[in-house]
Amino acid sequence: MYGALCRSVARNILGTNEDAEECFDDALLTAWNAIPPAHPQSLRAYILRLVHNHAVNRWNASRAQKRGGSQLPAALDELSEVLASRENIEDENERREMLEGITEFLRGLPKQQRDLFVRRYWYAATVSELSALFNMTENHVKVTLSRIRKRLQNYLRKEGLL
Amino acid sequence: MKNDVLLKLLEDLPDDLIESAAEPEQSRRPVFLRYAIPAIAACMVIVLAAVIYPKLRTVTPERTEESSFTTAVTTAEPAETLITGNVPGTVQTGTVTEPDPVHIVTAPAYSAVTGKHVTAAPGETLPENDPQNAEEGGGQDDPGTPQDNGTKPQENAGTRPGARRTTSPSSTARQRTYTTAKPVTTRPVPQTAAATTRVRPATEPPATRAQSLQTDTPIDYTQEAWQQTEASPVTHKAGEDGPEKHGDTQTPTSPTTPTEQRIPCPCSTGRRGTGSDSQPTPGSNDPPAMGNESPAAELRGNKLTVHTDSYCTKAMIAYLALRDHALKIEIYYDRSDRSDLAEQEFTVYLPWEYANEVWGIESVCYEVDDVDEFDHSDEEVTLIVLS
Repeated sequence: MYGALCRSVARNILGTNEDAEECFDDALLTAWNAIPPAHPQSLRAYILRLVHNHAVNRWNASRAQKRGGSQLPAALDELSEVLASRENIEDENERREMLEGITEFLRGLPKQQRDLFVRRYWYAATVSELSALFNMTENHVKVTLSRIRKRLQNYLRKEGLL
Repeated sequence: MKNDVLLKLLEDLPDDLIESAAEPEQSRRPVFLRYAIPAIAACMVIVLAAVIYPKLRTVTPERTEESSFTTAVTTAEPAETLITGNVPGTVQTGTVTEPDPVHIVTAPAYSAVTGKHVTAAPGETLPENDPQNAEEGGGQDDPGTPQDNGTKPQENAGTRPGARRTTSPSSTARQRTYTTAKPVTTRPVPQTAAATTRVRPATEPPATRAQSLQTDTPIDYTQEAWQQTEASPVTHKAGEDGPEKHGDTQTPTSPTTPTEQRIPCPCSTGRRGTGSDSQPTPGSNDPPAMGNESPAAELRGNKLTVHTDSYCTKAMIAYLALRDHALKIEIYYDRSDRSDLAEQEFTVYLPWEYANEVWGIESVCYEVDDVDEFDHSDEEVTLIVLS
């Protein structure tokens, strides 16, 4: 049911269809083992998160082998520029505050911009994919993402998180 | 922030955000909606503009309780109706407020109320029980009295058609209002006497003029008759003066109604026909019922009254008035007098110099050959369209 979406997430993170397929299979197996006792409210979000975690783990492992093709580093690089002043979050409370700040910021955005942000930095979607998905030009997608990042930075500074 | 930390941070995003992003919102509408909606909106704007704009261009003035004929007369009376009777035998008409040394009588008039020619012999006065005479209160300048008419018999003996007046009419001499709205034709009568007449040059052959002068039948309102009246000269040579002298022409006029000029309608379809035998009803403010060949317009002073049900004529008036730099155009409606007919007063404020150019108004304004003596820059010409 969610195969295409999950495979696209895994492919964007890992960069190859084979790795994405394996990642998706691993995620389904994990879900099979976890449910029950786990009882997720949103099965799609649950499976997507499993796929995302498996893909990130596999990407971390492959990054050590210098395998390219992933969109995740580029997306993370874009976002890390915004949060450059915060080198590291060691404390769990700080990480939670930062997460809450980002979440609140995203909830304050219009749905389109929020979806665009999540699709880019969580789903690791490419700009071209976002362009086709949101019926926007690639330039428009880039400009919109840049403005969202700028606003996120201002918001986090205003909240004292940066 | 390092990518690992950031990645770990993003992993904990709430499920609702992830779920929401799974079904993104389309930013742009489909192509059809993107172009169809503006196109439909543009069409609606165009249609509305086409409907509303002509109405917005007109200004609806406030109407008074008076009829459409009387309310429209607001400004000065041209010289053709300024009759300052100091000539014996001259019948004065209108509500001349003060005598003028220059005697100007344009034409013998036809009483639309009585349906008879109003004539007066030299020294003869009109009956005082004349409804129009009594209505207009002609006692101020008792028209036709020998005392008033005999003071300056030779003042305008040598007046030429179209010649400039030597005396500028004062504002008080202008006829301001008319209590009767009956149009009166400028119909000549055969009586000639020492009277002062100031009219335009004759354009009709003498034979026709003589024939028309001898006609004593009540005037009809057919188009032909109106045109004939319009075309016929109203100058009557009398006495021993030549045709270039108009001062000695007796032109008995209606003692109560001003002289008027009729203009044929340029629009052939613009007829307001109730029968050619229709006659105006005495005491009514309604305009006389015009025949199928009814005249298109009549002039009272600088008020041009157009009898027509033709929208084309109205449009033509508007077009010409605008073309000729009309100062103001007013269209308003009066259904108080006649419920079955919607009277539309179509008021066009024109400078006189432009009014001369508006469809035949020049044939009306010919009498005002001394227009330069007036400050007609903001005079008005009122066109009343009855539809």
